[in-house]
Amino acid sequence: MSRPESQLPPNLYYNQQESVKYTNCNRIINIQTQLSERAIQLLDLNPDECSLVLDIGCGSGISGFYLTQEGVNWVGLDISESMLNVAQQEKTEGELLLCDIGQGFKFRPGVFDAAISISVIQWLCVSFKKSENPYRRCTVFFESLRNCLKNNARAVFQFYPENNEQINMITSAALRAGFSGDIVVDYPNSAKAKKLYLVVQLGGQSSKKTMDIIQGLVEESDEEKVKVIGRQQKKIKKQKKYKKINEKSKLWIMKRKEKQVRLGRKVKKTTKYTGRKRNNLGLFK
Amino acid sequence: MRLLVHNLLMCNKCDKNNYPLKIEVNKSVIMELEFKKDAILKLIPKLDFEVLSNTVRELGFKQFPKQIPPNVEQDLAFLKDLHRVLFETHIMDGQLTCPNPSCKRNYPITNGIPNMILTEDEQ
Repeated sequence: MSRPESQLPPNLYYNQQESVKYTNCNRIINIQTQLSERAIQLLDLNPDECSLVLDIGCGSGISGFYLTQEGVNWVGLDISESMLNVAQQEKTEGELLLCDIGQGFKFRPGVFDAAISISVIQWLCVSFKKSENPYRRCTVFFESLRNCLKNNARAVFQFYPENNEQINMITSAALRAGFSGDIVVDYPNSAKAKKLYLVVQLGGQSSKKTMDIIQGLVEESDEEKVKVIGRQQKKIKKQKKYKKINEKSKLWIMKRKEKQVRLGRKVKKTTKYTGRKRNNLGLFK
Repeated sequence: MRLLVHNLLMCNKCDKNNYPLKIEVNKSVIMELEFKKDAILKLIPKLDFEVLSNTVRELGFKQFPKQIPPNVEQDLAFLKDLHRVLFETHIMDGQLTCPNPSCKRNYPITNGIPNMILTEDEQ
């Protein structure tokens, strides 16, 4: 399946149809729920101190649901109006704003205690217009985020980078804006379950200690899975190698001819008529 | 949109004098929500209370206090008012306007969602 990022800009991709599909699909909800739970765990909120969280790319409010459960107020930004309308219908307990994070956003400085973002910031790395420069959009985003977060605030971004360049682009933009932090990889050995979280903190030295503690989750049976995949792939390769060639097809004829030449025998010249099917004129039976 | 966001939001286009945005309400709805004292007390330090109070008065709730009363934790009537203003009043239709006279950018609110997206030449 091709990535949604390579198809359409996000405000057009998540149209009404896609938004309804997205919010009614159990598989997506399950994945989003797991990601949100893990991201909130990584945020390590202190419910006594924390009261305002920024949800970047809140969509239909799946991650917001968990924030509400944690007892914090949240403000959600998203570029897709249809997704926000769905969230509005579901009566999510958060504030919704239609906003393009690549253009930046302005809140009163230092009001937010934390920020969270699920499967969003890879969208910053692709551009659909000539005027949009992905690197600039990343920097603008992280700078406006820095302005509205309080000191020592933490932000967790779960994202799906397409390649290493995108990871570099995002992390360097974050570093330039004054964040420090690292990428946490969950299930690194599995191609499917592998998830990346960029965990960053504003301001400082105290952040380093906490960063060391964070470790990616590893599934115990990961290695076994990999082995199984390896065996299956071998089997598929074998099958490809000995794929049966249809008798009297062009490929079959060419192979036989090659063999005859290798054995030093004379063969007819290969022309455009070789292996072509004859019209049945009723002359041959 | 609720007034909590209005209390945080600044004009996206300009850099100076862009807070608070002027608010124009065409339609608002009150949705009942459970009253939680702790949640509100936690939120009070985050608020710019002067701005909130001015906005609430402009919108027609004249009795709203100008300053936070001294015994907030005991003042249940005030907290209930604040709860109604912050959590239960939803502005469904209207617009926000930048207060900066050289900007005056309008941000329409439709279906309760303010549109903060700028056009290309405004970035």
